[in-house]
Amino acid sequence: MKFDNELLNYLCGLSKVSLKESEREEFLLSLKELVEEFSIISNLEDEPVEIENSEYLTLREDISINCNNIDKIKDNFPFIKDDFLEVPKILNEE
Amino acid sequence: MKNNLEILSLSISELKSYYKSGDLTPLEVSIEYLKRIKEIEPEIDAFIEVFEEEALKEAEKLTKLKKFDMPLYGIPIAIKDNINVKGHETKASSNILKGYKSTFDATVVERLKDAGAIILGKTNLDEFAMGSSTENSAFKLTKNPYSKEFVPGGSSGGSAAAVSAKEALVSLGSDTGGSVRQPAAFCGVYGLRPTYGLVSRYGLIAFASSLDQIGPIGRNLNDLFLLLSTIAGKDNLDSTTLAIKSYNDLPDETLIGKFATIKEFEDITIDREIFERYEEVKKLLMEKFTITQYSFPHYNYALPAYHIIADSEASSNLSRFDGIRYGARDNANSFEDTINSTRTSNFGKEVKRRILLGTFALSQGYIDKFYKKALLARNIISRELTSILNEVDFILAPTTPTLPFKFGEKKDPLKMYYSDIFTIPSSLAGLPSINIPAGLSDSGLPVGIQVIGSKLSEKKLYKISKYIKVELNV
Repeated sequence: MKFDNELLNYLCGLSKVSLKESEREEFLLSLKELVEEFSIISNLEDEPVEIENSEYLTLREDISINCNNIDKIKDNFPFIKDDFLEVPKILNEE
Repeated sequence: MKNNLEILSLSISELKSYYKSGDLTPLEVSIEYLKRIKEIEPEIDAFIEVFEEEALKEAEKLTKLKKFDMPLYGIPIAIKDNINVKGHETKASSNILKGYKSTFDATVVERLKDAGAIILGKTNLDEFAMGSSTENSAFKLTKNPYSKEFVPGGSSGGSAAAVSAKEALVSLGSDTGGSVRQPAAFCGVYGLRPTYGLVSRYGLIAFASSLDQIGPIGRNLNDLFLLLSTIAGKDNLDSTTLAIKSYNDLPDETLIGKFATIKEFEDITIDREIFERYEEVKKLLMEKFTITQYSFPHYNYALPAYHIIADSEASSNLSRFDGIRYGARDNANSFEDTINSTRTSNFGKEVKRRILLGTFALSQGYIDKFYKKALLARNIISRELTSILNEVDFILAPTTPTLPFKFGEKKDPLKMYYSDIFTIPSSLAGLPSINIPAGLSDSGLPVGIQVIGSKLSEKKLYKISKYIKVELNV
């Protein structure tokens, strides 16, 4: 794999950031070094991912517990009324 | 009446008993803390904003209220600036969020307010919590209260320094790969990373959502766990919180009397004084506990896996900062150019580096070799640590490989990333872990020891930390 200027430009485009000329060299060097250091991870042999079997998992189910946060948050946005998402008139007419 | 320094040295339970007896009031204590901040803040620079007027108003209200049964009645606290506090700016130490005022309280802040805490202000951090020295803040350099030439650690450097310098009794930080434990070690205070999902992240500015956890920092173990018990528990606004109503519902298992050390950790080069302190604690523990060395074969995948996952999540999470929705905006000729220009001029160097690295790991052609492999490594690491913890109560490790370092000493990003080598594995596995201050080096800098427990073993962690501190006098 070649971590070069072309790849850096591509990543900058995707990330919506630009680099100054003075920064470019430094970023290229440090990113190259990090990618090389981290590429050890690609040597990892694929194996099935094991799902932990414990009581902890049952606690991760989407269980709702009553709490009063919602009302307080609604108080912060009093301008949002229930009729905010009314169907536009023109659709009703059709 | 107590003098200033005596008041600043009182724990939560001591303060509460003075409040009850009428010897002190929340207003008097808040005035003392605000005085301390005014005095010492020019030297430490722990705070980004101090809520002087609001804190005094709240303290006055609580003084009149006399609701002594509130868990944190009149307790002065500092909050890391990546946690939303309604009506105040939340900038995460980034120029891109300049001018963004929170319209709501984070769940943890709401719980603190409901418990009677007094928020003194927001503390400094590495921009978007990315760093291990707080040098990446766009606003100021926080100094280590033990020696001002040294960093306080990071990313919650402001929160740890504020507590260490007695500018706040307790504080909240956030820990992604060690950002509560490492600065706590550098500043000589306790810092706890709770089990992933025990504390709500609602209102925490996301860096890496699958790793971020809010955690308490304090000078006293009881204070630390009291703060945890106030903020812990299910929150319907954060679907990753666990179905546990409160800290009291956590399992309270008895100790089996076994500790593990990690063979591979002992091969990592660490500062001599940290090694000596670690060995000393091990020796003391051996009098009552069995200590067995275990192998953690995939430990060398932890640092790459952590950075690939964290930076990939960051590249996605930080895409919302576009100059359109929040904070700063650099107007340009087109919509696209406005976004590009805003992000280019307002993100710091380290944030840009991590966004680019994350985008790389997620991009076509590399996602299979990097991101997907990192997820696999995380699964293996979790499995290996869990299997060790199935046989013992805790894993003992140093918190950091080095003592606090000087400003500008670690310019190479990779060297800086290695600061978290001992804290990253438990972050990846979602395990709770605590930094216990273990005295000072010959040069007078703090040393920390880390204890890692199984998921939801916070009550056990409290017991063992107390034992290490009180019985072993570490």
